[in-house]
Amino acid sequence: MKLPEVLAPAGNLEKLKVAVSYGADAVYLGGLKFGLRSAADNFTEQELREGVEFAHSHGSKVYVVLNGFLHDDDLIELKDFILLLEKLKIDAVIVSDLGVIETVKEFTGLEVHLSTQASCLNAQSAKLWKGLGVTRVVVGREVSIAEAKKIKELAEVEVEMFVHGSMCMAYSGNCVISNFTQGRDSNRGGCAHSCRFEYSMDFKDKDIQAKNTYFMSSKDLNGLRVLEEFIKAGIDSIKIEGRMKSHLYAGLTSKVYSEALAFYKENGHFLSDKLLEWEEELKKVTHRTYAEANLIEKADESTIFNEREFDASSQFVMVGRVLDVIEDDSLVIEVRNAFNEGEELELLPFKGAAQKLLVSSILELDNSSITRTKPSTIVRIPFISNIEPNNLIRKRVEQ
Amino acid sequence: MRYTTYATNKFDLGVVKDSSLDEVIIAPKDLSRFSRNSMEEFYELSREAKSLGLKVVLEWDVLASEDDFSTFTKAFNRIDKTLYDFVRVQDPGVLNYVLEESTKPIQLILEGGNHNLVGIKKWKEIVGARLERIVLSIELSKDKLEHYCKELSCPIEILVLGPVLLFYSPRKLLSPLLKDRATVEEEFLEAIGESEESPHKGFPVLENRHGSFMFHIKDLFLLDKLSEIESIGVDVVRVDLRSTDIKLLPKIIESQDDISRRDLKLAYGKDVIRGYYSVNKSDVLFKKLKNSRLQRKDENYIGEVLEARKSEYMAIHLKGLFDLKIGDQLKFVTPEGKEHFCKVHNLKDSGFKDQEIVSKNKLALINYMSGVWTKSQVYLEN
Repeated sequence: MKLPEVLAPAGNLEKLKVAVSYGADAVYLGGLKFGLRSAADNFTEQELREGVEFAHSHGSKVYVVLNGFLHDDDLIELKDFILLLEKLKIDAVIVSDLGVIETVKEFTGLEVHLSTQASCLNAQSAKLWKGLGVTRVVVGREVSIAEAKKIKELAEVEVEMFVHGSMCMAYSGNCVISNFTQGRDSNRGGCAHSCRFEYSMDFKDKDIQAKNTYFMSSKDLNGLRVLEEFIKAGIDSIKIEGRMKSHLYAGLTSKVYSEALAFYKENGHFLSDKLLEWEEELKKVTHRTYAEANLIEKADESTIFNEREFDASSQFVMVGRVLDVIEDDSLVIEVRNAFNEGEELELLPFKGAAQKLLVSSILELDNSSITRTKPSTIVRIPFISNIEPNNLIRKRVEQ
Repeated sequence: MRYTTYATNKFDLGVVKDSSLDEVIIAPKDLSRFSRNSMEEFYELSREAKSLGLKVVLEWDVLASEDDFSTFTKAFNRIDKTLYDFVRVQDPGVLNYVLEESTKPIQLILEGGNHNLVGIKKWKEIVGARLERIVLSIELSKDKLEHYCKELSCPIEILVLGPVLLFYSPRKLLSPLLKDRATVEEEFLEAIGESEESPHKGFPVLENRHGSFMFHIKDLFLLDKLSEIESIGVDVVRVDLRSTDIKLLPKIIESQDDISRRDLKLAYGKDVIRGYYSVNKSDVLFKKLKNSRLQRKDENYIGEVLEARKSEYMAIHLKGLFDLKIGDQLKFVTPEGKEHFCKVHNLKDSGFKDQEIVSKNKLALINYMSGVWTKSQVYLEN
């Protein structure tokens, strides 16, 4: 039985290490240009080199996004970058523009995946892109799993689908609100997320007004419940959205989906209380209300997230990351959110259930004892076995 | 330079004919994003257009996922091929289908993206001898248009007057807002949207069978640039008067110079923009989207300050390629962009033990330096 690859976002090198460590079969990331996340940290040449080495040494693949609708001047700069990518032995580039595909093919032998940004929605489209050298199609988010299966069979091309994360309400690549209202090309990395704004709508011919509506905002995708459908359809890769999102998000989503697929591989089904546990885990990262969008049926009005953006909540926050393990002595923690002595935290091992972690004492690096940490500091807490660098620590927050 | 436009009824066709255009874009709502004409109305209009000596462009610009695709191909195949002269497509799947299943000349819409010559040339090659025209993006500046017209050696069309589509979603986004208001089911819903979070007020929004569409608050108006547009080699200009008044068409055609055409702004009756016609700098703001000082430079990179404990120590995560040792000279670049320099006098590991050297990927504690903050990037200055 062939299981889909779990493809996780890597907004920066640390997140790459976290995603890979927590089980991602592959990660996608951006260089300093040519992608759609200008505000993300992205990767320098050395970070790319290190990221590829780390991922490959853990058996994971690295895909680099070049999925902006690039202009002529961009293509001139692109050549050196793709030559570097080939030298670094990345596994594929993710592309949405035909000019980029042509440039990649002219100068390198890199494998090309078609970005969802190209809105490949049907088998005819997939056939055309395949003929242009694309080996995998990331189908549009409007495509159901059943449709994706047909596309894969009819076009005889690898198919990747989004399984988790934020959703564009528009057909990808077909939204230029930012271009014309903010002077920022949304298709080259400048999306201002105008679809998440609160609007007032005036139906003038009906004398009806709808105030305070988020009519263009989509709920987040969560495909955990239909994971078996992905497997049965032979989908090659399930993708987690979110290069701008946190370490905890990258780690936890990678962990949940990879553990779920591993469970299926062993048991041939998802009939287990584990499913509820995984669902609970996915609620522990920041998210809008979850929905299955178009995965099974066409997304209807129930998939609109008609709420203020910052109301999106999670039950847990990441309090820190294990930087170093001093054997039989202490764990060195980079603190992101404050915690107290005596507080119960949860430590996420790379495999297996979260472990309760009662903070019996906290030491600053100079060994002075404190009772409460501060963000952007480093502390030591008592040693626990089987903990590794890049393990994440979280805590429940009051709603 | 020729004009093209849309017709939605027989009156429109008469105006088009009287304005001496030689073609008209007509579409059934089954295949077109914005058409309100049924298939029967399309047949009637096409026959009428033909009888007036107009060439008919059949527009098939909807996007469709796999299961809907066959619905559209059935609609397309039902149409008598003598009723139209060209087929106008955007989706690559539709293009591929039309290339395989039809022999009609193709007007290829490349208005969504397609901002480089390499890609556009390849699209031209894909369509081959069947290509009648390429419709280019309104985000291309006049310099780019001129360059492309010279290089492409095929007829080029651009929009010069009409609404600017900003957003196309397959989801129905307006009808849910009316759900509790006892409104009858309608095929077309229209509303005007505005947000306190945007300085732009009055976005027209349309919902129909194909989904929801948002337009710019102002329409594109390049009529006062037509002389220049003609001189740079654009072959066909498109005026879209579907949301205003087709009776403006003869006035546009009759206007002989850019000054008189500029006066048509008033007659057009809507606020207008030139968009990116003069220049497209839609990537210049990107550098402001993040603090570039937080972005490490690879050369001599040591790591990042994770904690600065006043008067005591600085904790550096050694993310770079180098170990850190006593005596190393370091440069710190703060998030504010200030540079500070210091020599490593004291060096400890994460267990607060003195060390001569701490290896890369580890945490190193060194002597404190005033003015250096968390997230400062650290470089070797040896």
